[in-house]
Amino acid sequence: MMSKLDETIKLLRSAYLEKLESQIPDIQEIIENAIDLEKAIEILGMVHKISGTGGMYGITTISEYASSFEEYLLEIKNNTQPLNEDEIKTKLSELIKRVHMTLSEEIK
Amino acid sequence: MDISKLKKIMYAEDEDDIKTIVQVVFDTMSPCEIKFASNGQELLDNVEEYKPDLILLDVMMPEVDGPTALVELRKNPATKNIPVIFMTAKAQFHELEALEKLGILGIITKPFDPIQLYSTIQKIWEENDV
Repeated sequence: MMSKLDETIKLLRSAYLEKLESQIPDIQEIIENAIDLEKAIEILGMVHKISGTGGMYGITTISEYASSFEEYLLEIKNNTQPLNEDEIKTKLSELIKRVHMTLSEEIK
Repeated sequence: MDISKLKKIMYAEDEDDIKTIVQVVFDTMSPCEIKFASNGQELLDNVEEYKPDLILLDVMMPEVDGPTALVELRKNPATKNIPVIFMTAKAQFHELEALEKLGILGIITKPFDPIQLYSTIQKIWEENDV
């Protein structure tokens, strides 16, 4: 039997997934525009949050991808990796795909 | 050290979803009280009044980040001895080596299981001579 705490966490997890879904248009907009270093650092902040919070809810499909994306963006921030707009956009598209995939699995 | 001495925790974390779930889990499962700050500056503004037994510090936060907040805490005689645990993503782990010299109790890697958080803190607390 599910405890009250488990039920609360499940509700919070669903609310978090809805929040992620609501962020998709913003991510899409980033993909459609130029990405400079300042924007890359802004994306770093976003994926950092997705990595941490998604992982807490056990949404590994999203959080583990966000974590490796975060490492990649940190290298760009620290100048150990050149900024590659196409690569960042590809990774953002993959992130969106994973959000959709998780949401469709939740509905099942 | 004796875990019963750990009664109040202050946690600097900017992500609302994390604060919500940690609050829920602590209210249900933990014997100690937890208070949140949304960034390092808010922590520094409130820490002397709240007097926590332990501080959990996220690394990447707006305004004042975790490492900067730790340096400020260590400069202030009223807060310099409060034990600190960093909460950090794996990607930032290597950046913390220098800060360990300032004296931290430990590091908890994010993402963490909120249900296990108190027992993880307890383990770090008991392993150290707080």
